[in-house]
Amino acid sequence: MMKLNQDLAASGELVSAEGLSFPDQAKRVKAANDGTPVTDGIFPESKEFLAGYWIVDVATPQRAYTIAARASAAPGRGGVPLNMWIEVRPIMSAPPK
Amino acid sequence: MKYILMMNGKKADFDAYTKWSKEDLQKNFTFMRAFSKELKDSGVFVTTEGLGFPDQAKIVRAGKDGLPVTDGVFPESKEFLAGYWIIDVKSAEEAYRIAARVSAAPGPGGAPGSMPIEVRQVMGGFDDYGL
Repeated sequence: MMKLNQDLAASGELVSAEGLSFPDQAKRVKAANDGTPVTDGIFPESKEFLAGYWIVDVATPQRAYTIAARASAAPGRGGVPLNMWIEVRPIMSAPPK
Repeated sequence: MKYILMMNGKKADFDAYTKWSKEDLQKNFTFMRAFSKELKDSGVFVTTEGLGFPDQAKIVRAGKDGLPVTDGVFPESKEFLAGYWIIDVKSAEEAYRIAARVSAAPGPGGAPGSMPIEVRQVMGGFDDYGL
């Protein structure tokens, strides 16, 4: 993962990358009628949690998919490529019309 | 400590959003702009982004040869990230208070939307994972 970040920084494509804390630290928050926060830590078992992300600035979606495939092949247990799914979507430059 | 405030929704939520009236959307955008400015003015703002809609989402993995395999089919129940803010605050409680503010962003008819915001700490580096 560090090597991937270095390569993306070197090619000028890396905008940002963050890793998030684990799901046991996640809270859902909403405003009560008086605007104060109501917090809840219960999520459905089926919920997918964001573990981390990269934002890349690339010329084509295909280049983003190629970078995603590199991240997908990061080594897992025993050094075997994880081949995990990576969700890829454009970032909006302004609110949708 | 950095926290991420995430707006999530299912595809149906995004579809509903595209049916909001122009006035409702404008009220919501005005609120969001003021909210971001307030975060900047108070010195807690790190970054914010809005994402493309679920119909633009692909899921990508590496094939055995390392080449990308893409798929655009997701279960109906999947929650998609609509957008997020990252803030740098002193406590989780402060992050929750700020999340409650954006939760109350105006929805259809200008009433507070009361959408749930997922709040989690952003890790600083491999040290935070004990590596």
